[in-house]
Amino acid sequence: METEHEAGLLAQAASGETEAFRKIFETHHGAMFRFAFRLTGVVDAAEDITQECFLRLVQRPTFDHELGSLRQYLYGIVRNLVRQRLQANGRQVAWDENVEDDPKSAVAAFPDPIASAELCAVVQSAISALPPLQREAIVLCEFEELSLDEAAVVVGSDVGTVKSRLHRAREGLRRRLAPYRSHVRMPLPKGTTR
Amino acid sequence: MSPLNDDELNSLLKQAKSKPPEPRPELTLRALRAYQENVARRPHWRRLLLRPVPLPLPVGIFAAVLLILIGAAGDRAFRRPSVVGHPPLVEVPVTREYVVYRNCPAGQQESGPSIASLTFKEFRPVREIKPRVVRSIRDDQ
Repeated sequence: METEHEAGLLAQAASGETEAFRKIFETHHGAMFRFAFRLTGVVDAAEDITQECFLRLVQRPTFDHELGSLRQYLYGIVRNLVRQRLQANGRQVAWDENVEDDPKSAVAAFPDPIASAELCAVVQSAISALPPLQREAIVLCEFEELSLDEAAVVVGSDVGTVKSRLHRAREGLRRRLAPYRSHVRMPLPKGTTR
Repeated sequence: MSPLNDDELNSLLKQAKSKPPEPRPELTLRALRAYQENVARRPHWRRLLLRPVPLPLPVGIFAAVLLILIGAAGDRAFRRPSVVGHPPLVEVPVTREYVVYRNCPAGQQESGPSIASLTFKEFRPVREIKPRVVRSIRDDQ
């Protein structure tokens, strides 16, 4: 029902109704920005991609609400735009290969996370260092909290493939973030106070 | 250094998730401006022309087949007939004219006698006459 309503809004936005576009944008642009930022690691690039994503949505509205939600469709557009941007920048990207991890170099690259914001930056850097396919799997499933089924629709693969990428991504993060074990705040057992 | 276990990783990810990156407020204005320039200001006729029409797949296939059939029928109707009568070939004699140019220097033009200046004085009598009678076919009948 919600997706049908959004499909109606999308049709209006595609025909030039600014208010419909504004509603769609305000509903989804935060999530799209976060997703783009987690994949690129750069605020400016993430903002450009977010804007381009919504323009593409209304200029070529091929969204079919029977195939998934509008948000899933938007994630797919962002994913393609990120990929195009990486290729346009001439980066030779090993999309799904494991790069040799060196925790020592990770320690040297990351600042000492004394504040929460810095810890976020450390985690973001570790995510950015993952191969793109693993990166998008962990961002979709861990940060955007999509189910494996939903993530599979977004990336156009089957559930097993996404699960495997997610597993490898977590393995990579375990090694890369190992130097920051001391900053882990484990949840306290029930009934105890800090 | 041993890698983190699942709980430790989940905890770090949770801490990172607690402060999600936020877009700058200008992004909304920027996107709306881009939308106004690229989509909303397109003329009505263009919007109508480029507007996608959702169509059920069977209807689309039927329409495509119909178009192909109409195209094929139209092509057959407008195409020239494949059997064409061959007109008989008639050979027409062609007279050939040759134009011969002769070099005639300006000084020699008046050397020969011109037709207007010919007189009977230049005719000479024949030495021998051999008359020959030729009978007509009618005379034999």
